[in-house]
Amino acid sequence: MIYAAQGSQTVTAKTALTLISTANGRSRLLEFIYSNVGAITVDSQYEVQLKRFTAAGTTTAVTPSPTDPSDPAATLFTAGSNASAEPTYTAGVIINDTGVNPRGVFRWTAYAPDAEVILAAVAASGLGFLVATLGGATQVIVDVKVRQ
Amino acid sequence: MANAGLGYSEITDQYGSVQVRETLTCAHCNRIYPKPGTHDPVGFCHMCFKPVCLACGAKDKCDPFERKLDRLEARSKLRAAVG
Repeated sequence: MIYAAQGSQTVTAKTALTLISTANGRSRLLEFIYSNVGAITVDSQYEVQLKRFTAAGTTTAVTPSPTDPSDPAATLFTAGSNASAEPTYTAGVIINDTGVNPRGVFRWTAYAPDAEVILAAVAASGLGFLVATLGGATQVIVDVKVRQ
Repeated sequence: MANAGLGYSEITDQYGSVQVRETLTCAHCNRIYPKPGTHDPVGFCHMCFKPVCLACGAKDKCDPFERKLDRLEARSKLRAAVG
């Protein structure tokens, strides 16, 4: 089953979206899309880092929505947007670090199942999309698809 | 095997032009990295027969990411059981 979740961020060095595991099983990140909404201030890249964390921090809860409406609610992970207290990121581990022009859109998709990014089945651990640099962006939107 | 670890990234600019680049996901650390070009150095594990990043390739041992997760989850369960 595939689920979609979205998060946003307007502040530098804050997390836009967290995917928080439960101990029930491993979910897998299939796709992520970065975009910007709002008026662009300067023509300078924003930077999003995809990182692993061991404690989830404080975020606004996001309910992952099944892409097939007949699927049940997600049970292996939850999501959160716009962190007010940052997750505890694993030092030195960056899964992906991308600079994006705020006038453009960046998308990454796994072709093969073994290209997917796996979340450990450990409660409160997971993946976070940290807006490391806001650049000319005003509101970074992170849209993900997760399989469980 | 040809598609092992294969993904792609796509950048759409403000004029609608799209640049696509293939990526690989390291079988040992799960990091996403651009697929190396023909003349670039390539990491590959001949034990699990999957692409790995150069840093993992340099370690010269096969430690698949899912096996690392097994260990991590086992430690977490043990800690929870001990309290």
